[in-house]
Amino acid sequence: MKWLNAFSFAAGYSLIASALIHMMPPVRPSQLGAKLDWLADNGARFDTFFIGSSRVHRQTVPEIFDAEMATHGLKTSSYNLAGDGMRPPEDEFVMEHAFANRTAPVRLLLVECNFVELKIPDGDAGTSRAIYWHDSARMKRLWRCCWSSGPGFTVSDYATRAWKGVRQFPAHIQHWIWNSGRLGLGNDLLTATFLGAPPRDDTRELGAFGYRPPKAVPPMNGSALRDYEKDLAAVKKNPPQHSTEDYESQAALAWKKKLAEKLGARLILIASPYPKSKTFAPRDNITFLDFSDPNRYPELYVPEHRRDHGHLNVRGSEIYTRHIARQIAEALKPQP
Amino acid sequence: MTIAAIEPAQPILFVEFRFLWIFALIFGVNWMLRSNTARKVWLLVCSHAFYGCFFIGNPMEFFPNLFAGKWELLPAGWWFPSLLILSTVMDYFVGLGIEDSKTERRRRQWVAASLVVNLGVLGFFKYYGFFDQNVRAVVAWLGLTPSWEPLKVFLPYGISFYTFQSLSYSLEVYRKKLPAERSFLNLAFFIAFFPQVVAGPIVRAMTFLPQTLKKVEWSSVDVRGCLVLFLIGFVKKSCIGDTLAQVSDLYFAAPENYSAYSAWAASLCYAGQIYCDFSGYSDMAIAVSRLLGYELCQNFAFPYFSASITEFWRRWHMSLSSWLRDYLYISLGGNRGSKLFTYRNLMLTMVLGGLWHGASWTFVVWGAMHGIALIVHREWSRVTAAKAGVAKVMKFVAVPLTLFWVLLTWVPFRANDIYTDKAKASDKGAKLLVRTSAGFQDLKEHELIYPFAKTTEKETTQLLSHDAKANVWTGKSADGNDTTIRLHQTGFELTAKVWQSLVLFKDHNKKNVCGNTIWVILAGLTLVHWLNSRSLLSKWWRATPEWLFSMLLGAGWALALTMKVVTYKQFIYFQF
Repeated sequence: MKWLNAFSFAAGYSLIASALIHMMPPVRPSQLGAKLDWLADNGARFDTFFIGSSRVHRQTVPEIFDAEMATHGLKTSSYNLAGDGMRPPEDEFVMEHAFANRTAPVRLLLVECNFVELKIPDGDAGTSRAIYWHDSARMKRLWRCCWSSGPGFTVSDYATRAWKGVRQFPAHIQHWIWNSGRLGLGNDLLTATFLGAPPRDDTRELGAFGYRPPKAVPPMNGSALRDYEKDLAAVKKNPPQHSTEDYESQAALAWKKKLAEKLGARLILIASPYPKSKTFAPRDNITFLDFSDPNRYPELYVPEHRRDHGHLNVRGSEIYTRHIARQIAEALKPQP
Repeated sequence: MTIAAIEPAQPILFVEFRFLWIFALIFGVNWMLRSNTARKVWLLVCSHAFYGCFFIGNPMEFFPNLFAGKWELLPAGWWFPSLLILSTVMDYFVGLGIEDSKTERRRRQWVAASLVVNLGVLGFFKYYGFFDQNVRAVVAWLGLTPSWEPLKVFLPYGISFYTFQSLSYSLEVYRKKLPAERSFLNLAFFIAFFPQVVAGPIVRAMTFLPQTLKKVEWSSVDVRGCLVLFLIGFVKKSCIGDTLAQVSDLYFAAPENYSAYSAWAASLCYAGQIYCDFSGYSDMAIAVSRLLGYELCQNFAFPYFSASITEFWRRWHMSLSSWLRDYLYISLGGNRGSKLFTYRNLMLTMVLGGLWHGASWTFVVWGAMHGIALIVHREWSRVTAAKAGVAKVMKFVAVPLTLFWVLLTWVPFRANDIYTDKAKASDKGAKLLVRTSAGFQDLKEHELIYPFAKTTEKETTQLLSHDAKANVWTGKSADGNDTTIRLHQTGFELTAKVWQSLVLFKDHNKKNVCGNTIWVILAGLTLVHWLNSRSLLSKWWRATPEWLFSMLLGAGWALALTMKVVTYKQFIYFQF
């Protein structure tokens, strides 16, 4: 009887929740929602897409990229589909939705290379920014990630991963329930009837190409600069290791490769210029542009071109974008 | 759409998802335990842990810092849960002392000790700031400059509630209505029981302590009633109260920006908000408590349908009003004297009741207005007792008249003094760190979010300027219009502006705070409330088969989650 009651409760919830899902628009965060909506109408204009976190969103400039590609005789029309804090599996969701009904050809998919992230950033937890991508496919990915291992995994690594999963996964269930129930969306629609619709992030403000420049801040100084230089020195001494471990992150990558193949596009992975000890790298044969070594790209790591420890400033972004374009042009050259 | 991130140092709210996990654990273990004592020990530990979480923040950070002696890293007020223990220990010994006393004098000394310690602690934490502020004002008025530095006193959550609850025990033992509780566990459990420790209902020792003596069987729990009551409480708070708050918060932040129409809409919204917020909390507390096998008292009975202020106080915050009646009004002499004596007692009770809510003159005014209304109603009833014609007329006007007066009184209740301590402009708008007369917000730098200062995703707006001299902020509101807010205005200034609009229909500005749909929503809510007051909605679900009930409950939750305001908003009564 108890099981019947539990089942009835779940059935009642699911019935109404699924009816609401069909009746109401999906949950969309302001910035990425605006991009996805805008792309639905204007996406056919573009054949190249940048996907990733703020290290793509605020560091790769489509106009500069297209211009640089043109100097190499390659015509591209690129769009920055990245968002601050976007990591796998969120990027999968964005790609799936952005290209769901696409008929126009896609030439290049430039994706930032990252591990599947289990932790929801503190500032995003509970916001539409974290809710919108929690669907069943992403939950499956996260669940697998909690228990997945890798070739070099020790028992201790596995236990650490599983413990992290146990701690983080309930928050994802919570976000999934919020998303599946369109949490608060009815209230938003109701409130809009007497307080007016809230203003949305304007896509014009984002630029027609989805890029948003890094926020202007004073140059790094004091302890921030000291910390950065210390980390940089360490990475220069021991360049970041390429990690091909972690089955689930590789599986996420394989998913992207499959999508790219379906779209007829070429998948290109990018490791951002960021001083860290370990960089996720593809195991499969995928074009991989690695900017994680400060010895190879010193100009991307000089403090004058950095906004902060993890990000480039406007000048650094321009240099970085040109680097990407040049390397892609190189990679696209017909091999002899 | 935004949901506030869960701050580790914030109270755990019944409407939060994490409460579900916490409660599932408490509930599961409680019913797995066989002995009554074990259950009480478990619930006592959980209650203190629950209450402690309000102050210590993240336990994973707190305990290592505590054991390492890193005091500077501990959150302010981390030791406040010890006040709850102090109050419990104090009243335990007071109860025993009273019962074991041989003389009346000794008994009086014991109860006086309880009053002094309990009210002393409450008085210091709640009224120190108010006292200091007024002494400073007097000193300044005399042309002198205060030479002492003010203390920053942070009001512990729930202190007003548990102090009154604890006092009810010693006073009842003193009045010989209740034997002293010999079991410390029972008394500690009664005072700290987590569903009601922070915001009531203020449970009497007489009604709760007997429940601790017998083991409750799961079969006696009205699970269906509890689940429905919890859902109703959730809907009241998260779907209705918080929605209406969006209108009242906008308006009361700057009434000078709006029309008389707005004053009416916002005041009605605030009346709805405070009722739904507080009665929603009470419903959830009662439901949670029942699910654990304990009964709390009813706190609300459709107060806005009252035909007089006297009736209103029989239906609004019933646990407080009956406490004030039994322990204050009657102790002052009640109506056992002349008419003037009775009116004095009524007035004193209501003014002190106002002060119980908060240390501010606006709360004194709120209490006094209710006191005046109670006196006027008494006189009116006496004068018109034998006049049938008046009764006929009153049948139609009594409820709206009472509601109008209650609306007027909510204005000073809502209009706290506002001071800006810090203001920070960012590219997303202005974040103003504001302190109000509610003491605990001082130290926590509680962020009151103003119309143009919202930093949430959907309402990113722009700060234009700040005139430091006049302390006027100008910015763009969510709808894109210019708006100004003057901070450092007293609650009385705000009250006067709102009353001008409510009573004299004065438009301070032509702008309306909200569209007409709000009236449709308010009318719909009133209709549902009225149907419920006639018990037309409250029983049918009991007759449904279990599977159907479960299905409807699931459907109800799906709807409630869709219609809830995503930002977790603290319960209004947490600040008292």
